Amino acid sequence: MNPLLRLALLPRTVLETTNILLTAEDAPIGVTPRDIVWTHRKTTLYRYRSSKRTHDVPILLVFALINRPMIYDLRPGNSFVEFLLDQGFDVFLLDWGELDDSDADMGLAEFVCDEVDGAVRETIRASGASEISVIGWCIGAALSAMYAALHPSAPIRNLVLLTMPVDIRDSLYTTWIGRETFDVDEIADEAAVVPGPVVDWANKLMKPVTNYVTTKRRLFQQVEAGTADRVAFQAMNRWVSDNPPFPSKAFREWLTWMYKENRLVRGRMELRGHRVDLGNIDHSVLVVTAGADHIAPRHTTMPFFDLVSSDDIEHIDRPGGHIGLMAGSKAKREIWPDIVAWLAPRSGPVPLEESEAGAASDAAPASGH
Amino acid sequence: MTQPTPGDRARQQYEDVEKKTAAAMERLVGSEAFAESLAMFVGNVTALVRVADLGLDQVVRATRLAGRRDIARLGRQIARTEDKLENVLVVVEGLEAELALARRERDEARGRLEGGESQGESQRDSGGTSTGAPRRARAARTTRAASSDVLTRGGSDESGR
Repeated sequence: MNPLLRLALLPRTVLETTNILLTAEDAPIGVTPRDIVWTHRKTTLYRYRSSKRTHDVPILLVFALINRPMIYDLRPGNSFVEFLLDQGFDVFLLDWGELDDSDADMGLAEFVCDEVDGAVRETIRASGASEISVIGWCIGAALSAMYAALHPSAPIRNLVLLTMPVDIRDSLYTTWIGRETFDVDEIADEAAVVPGPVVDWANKLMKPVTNYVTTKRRLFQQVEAGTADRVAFQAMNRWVSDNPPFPSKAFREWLTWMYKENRLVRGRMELRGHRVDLGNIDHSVLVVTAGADHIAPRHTTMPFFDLVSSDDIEHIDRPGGHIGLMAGSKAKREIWPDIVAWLAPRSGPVPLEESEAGAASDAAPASGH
Repeated sequence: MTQPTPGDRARQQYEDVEKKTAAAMERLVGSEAFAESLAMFVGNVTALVRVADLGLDQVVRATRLAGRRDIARLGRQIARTEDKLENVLVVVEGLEAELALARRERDEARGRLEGGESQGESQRDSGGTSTGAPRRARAARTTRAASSDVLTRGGSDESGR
C-alpha cells in the first residue's frame, strides 16, 4: 500500500481496530438453539436437538473448569455443536456455570462423581439412548477419563479426549507450580475461588508477547489491509477473556495432584475413596493432540496409551494450538470431519420407529424452555 | 517485483524484533529464576489480598450488614440443600422407572389374562372348563411386585450419595 495512503487511512484503521477490541464483549457466542435438561448447583446440562438425527448414540460435551464451554458452539458457521447436529448427532453440553464463594467446596470428586455423573445419567434419560459418547477437552477430558475409569459400567460407548493433560511432569505449568515455593495451599486457603482474570493472566503469561502484542498487531494489519474478520476475532476474543472463577478446592486438588504429585499417571489419585485407575478404561477411545499445544503438549498426553486397556484406541495428531486445533478457522475442514468419521460407525443408526417419531415431533411446534 | 518502501522495511524490522522478543520472553518465563520469582510474587499478592479482605469484611460486618463470608456461608447452605434434593430426585427417578416397568408388566399380564378369559368364556360357551389363568397371573404379579421392591431398595442403597 502507498505509504501516503496508509498514513491517510491511519485514523480510520486505529478507530476500527479499537472498535473491534472494545465491542468484542457484545459478540454473540453460543447461539445455537438449545433446551435446559438438568441443573444442579451451578451446573447446567443443555440439549441441542438435531433435525436430521441419524445416530442412536448421543454426544455429551465436557469442557475445562477454567473457560466457558461455549467454545464448542463459538459462532454460527464455526460451531462444533452445529457441525455435529448437521452430521446427525444429538448433542448435550455440560456447563459448569458461574462458580462463586459458595462453591469453594467443589473439588474434583464433586465435579467427577456428582456433576459428570449427573450429566451422564440425565443425557441417557433425556435422549432415551442406552449409551452415550463423551467428548472432553483439556481438563474436561481429564475429568471425563477419571469418570470413565471410576465407573467402568457407566453407559459410555465412546470416549473422545481432546488435548488432555495426563503426565505433566515436563511442562511450563509444572516449572511454575511444581516447585516447593509455589504454595498452592496458601492461595486455596485464602481465596474461596481463584478469580477468572487471574487464570487468564497465568495462561497468557505463558506466551506474553504473542498474547498481549502480536494478536493486536495482527488485527491492526488485517484492518488496514481490509481482510479483518470482525465476527471471528470478536467471538474468539470474547471467549478467551471470559474465564469463570476456579473453586479453591478444585484448584488445590488439580494443581497439587496433577502438577506437584502427578497422581493420575502414577495411579495414586483417589476420589471419594476409590482409586482412579485408567486401566479400567476399555471403551472405544479417540485421543486428539495438537502439535503446537503449549498447555497440554503432546508428550504429556502420550502416556495415556500405556495406561488404558482399550482395544479400540486411535490417535489423531494435527498441527495447531491447544484451542486453535478445535476452534480455529481450519478446524471445520481439518479436524471435525475426522472426529465424526471416527464416531459415526461407533454410534449406530437411529432405530426406525424413533426416527419416525422424531420426524413427527420436528413437524410439531416446539415447546420453549 | 516492486521494491519494498521504507515503511514496509520498517514494518518488517518491527515484526522481526517482535518475533525475537516473543521467543526471548518465552525462554524467560520458562526459566527457573522466573518461576521462583513468580511463586514469591503470587505468595505476596495472596497475603496482601488476605489482609485487605479481612479488613474489608470486618468493616462491612461492623455496619451490621452481611459480609461476603456470611453470604458465602448462606450460599453453601443452599448448595447443601440442593445436593440433598438431587439425591432425592435420583431416588424418585429410580422409583419412577421401577413403577413404569411394573405397570407395563401388569398391563401385559392383564392383557394376557383378558385374552385368557375371553378364551375361557368361549370355552365355557362351548361347554369347556376354566383354565385357572387368573389365579396364575395374580400370583405372578405379586411375585414381580415383591422383587421390584427389593430392586428399588438395593438401587437406592447403591447410589450411596
